[in-house]
Amino acid sequence: MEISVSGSEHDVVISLHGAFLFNSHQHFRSILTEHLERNEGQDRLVFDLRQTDQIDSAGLGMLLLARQSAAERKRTIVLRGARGQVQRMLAISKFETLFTVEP
Amino acid sequence: MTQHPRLDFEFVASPTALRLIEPDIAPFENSSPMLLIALRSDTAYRLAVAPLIAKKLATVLRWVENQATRIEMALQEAIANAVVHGNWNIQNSNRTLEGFGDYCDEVDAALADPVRAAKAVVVEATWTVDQLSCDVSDQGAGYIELRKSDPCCAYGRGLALTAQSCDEMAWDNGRRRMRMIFRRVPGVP
Repeated sequence: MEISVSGSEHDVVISLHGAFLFNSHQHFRSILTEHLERNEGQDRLVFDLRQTDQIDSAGLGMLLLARQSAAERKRTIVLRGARGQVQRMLAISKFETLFTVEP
Repeated sequence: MTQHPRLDFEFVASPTALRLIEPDIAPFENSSPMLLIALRSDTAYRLAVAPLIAKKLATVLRWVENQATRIEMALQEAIANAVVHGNWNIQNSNRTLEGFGDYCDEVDAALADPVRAAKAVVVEATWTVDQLSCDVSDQGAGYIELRKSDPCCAYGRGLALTAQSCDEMAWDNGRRRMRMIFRRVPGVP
């Protein structure tokens, strides 16, 4: 998985490219450290999933960990642009009830 | 550094079976299936092998794309469980936010351990025109399911997703082997 980060006044946008699977834990650990635990003033952390080809249950679990971390810091996680297999996995897991989901 | 195998099935195809056995892997048993993939745990961890295997199986079976997708989803979960919970005996009970760092460290320790890294993950498949049987085996102590009903819980979804993706799922060999059965959807070529 490759990660790119951009930002605006209110959002940090983290784009996940490729497969977000059980072997992505170190990448995700760096996200938690660099962009969630260190609050730079933005209210929302947006995961841009348009370029994410595949996700598994571990990837879903890591998103839930990010949600937990964000809630403790009164920040919001947004899942944006999921498609294909990723969109189906989010729907199966009813993530629309847990996250802000944007097309 | 370990040389990873080329996951090129045509390269290893024979008239009777498709086989890929990685060098320097721990000894393992198999049942002479029609497709055999045997990888070290560190290779199975680092490479996304499930899509490649699912694509090959769907091609051999001439199944359509949505059937290949469910094979891929089930295989992905089964292989991940075999590596992390089976061969490396890393459990999910510590997957809170505070425990995530510990989990990462446990995975890194397993990758650095030559014995644990070499433990085999074996995918065996046999098929007929209408049905695919796919086994994923590991060399651990037997995976114990830690299922949580809380939708916010960060772990415990893998087996449920596997069960949703295949038509039958069963354990064997002291929960070291998971068997998944996929049936061709009637009316779909």
